[in-house]
Amino acid sequence: MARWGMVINLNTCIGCYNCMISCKQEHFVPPGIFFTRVLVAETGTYPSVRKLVYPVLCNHCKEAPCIEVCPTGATTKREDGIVIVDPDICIGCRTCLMACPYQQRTFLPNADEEYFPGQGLTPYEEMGKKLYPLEKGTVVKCNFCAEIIDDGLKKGLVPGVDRDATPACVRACPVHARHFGDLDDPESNVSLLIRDKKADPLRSEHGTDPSVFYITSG
Amino acid sequence: MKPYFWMTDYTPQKEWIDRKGLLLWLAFFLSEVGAGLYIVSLFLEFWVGSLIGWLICALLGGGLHMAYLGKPMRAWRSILRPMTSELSRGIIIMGLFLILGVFQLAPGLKFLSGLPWSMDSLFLKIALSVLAFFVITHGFMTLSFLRAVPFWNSAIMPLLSLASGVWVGAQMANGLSLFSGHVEIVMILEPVARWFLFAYALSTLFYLWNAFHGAQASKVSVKLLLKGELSSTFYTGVVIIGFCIPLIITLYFCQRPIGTATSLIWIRFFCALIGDLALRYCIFKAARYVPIINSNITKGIR
Repeated sequence: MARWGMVINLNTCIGCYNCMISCKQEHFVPPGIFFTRVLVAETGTYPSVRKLVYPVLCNHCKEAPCIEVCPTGATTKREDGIVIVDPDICIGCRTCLMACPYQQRTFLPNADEEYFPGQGLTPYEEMGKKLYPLEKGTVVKCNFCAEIIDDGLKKGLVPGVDRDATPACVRACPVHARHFGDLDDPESNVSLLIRDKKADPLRSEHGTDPSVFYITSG
Repeated sequence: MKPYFWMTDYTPQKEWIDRKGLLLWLAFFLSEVGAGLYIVSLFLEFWVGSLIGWLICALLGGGLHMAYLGKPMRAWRSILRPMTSELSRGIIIMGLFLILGVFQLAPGLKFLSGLPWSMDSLFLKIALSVLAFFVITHGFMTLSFLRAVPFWNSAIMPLLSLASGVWVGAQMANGLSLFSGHVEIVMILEPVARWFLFAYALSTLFYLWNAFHGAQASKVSVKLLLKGELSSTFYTGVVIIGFCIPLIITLYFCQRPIGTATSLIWIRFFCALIGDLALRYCIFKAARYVPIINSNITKGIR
């Protein structure tokens, strides 16, 4: 069974936020909630200042602390390594949110929040409620576009290679900074990138064995 | 909201202290002091205290826990993962404590006086003491299991909650005894209260000292308490109200008999409540996550 993972090349990323927007579009994410973010910070002192741009998302950790602390079993890991939250089981205790060292989970207090408050839902938001209903009072997060992967696999497509089986943020990246594939396959695009470009996960000291890696060196 | 500044600095935890999170802060506090009052009353065979402790734990602690949940109607599901989840274990223990508590308290009610067991059942006393012990420590134990928050991820947390739970519980028992005219209970509790206060102060100091010498993020949290944005709450609520005033009153009672100034017992009782509430607020509010980017901000402690 595959273990899906992502490699993000920070040397290529231009910080355009397209991944953030495409994720919001794909999952009809309500206002103020982000399944993926582009973080911006600075390092160094003047005149040697460097701007850091880090696209981040749920790391789908192999040793996910969110699974361990969940009192209901709502957070689980699929066989392919994708960490998901079952909105029908989640009780909204937010312990998983507290346990995530990357803070990539969000509590959804109100699923009816409008992008244009007081003006009602846009046709797009209405469509989202039918296609991708989010359960109020539960915790939501990135699921590596598991539904796209599953549909693609059923059609015989390869996630990370074929667009129709690849997560929305990877597809949307205009500079191909994001790569998706099977971490367990030593010849997959992501495994080769990790090996050749010496990609590292974020904050590996947390010991969670993330499935998202970053290429920082040239 | 600026999504690009997320976790680029030491990031405060908000879910368990801001807005609806205040309910959880109160829920943990009330469950702990309710169980504290219960365990102290159990040893003193003070039925009214046990009853009030049980009610605080069940109605206020349990009720606020439920009110905090996003889906309270599914709360029963939280007992399903005791093997891995501390929260799950805590809910089971609290449930057992409340059920057995009913059995222990029931014979004390006049209309249930014909029950085949008594309040003094050794089994019930031992079982409830053990369960109350775990209910007291449950809140901070849950926090201590969260490795992502270095300030909380400390083995001293359960010790601190035990000391504070018993200290505040004893003060509540004192207040209730005075209210119900059982001055003899106050006499018994007073020498013990000194040790509880000492243990509470010592465990708080030890916890802060340990956090300061631990991970960088917990050092940041301690600095927030000692000279940062939470210092006024910490010094006023925890140090002055929570420790100094009770200490002065306790020292006063070392020299003079209790009966001379019962109003001071009330003052100490309210100070213990406010102080413990403030300590919990500070611990919840000062918690910080380690930033996920090694930027300038993370190199120095602000």
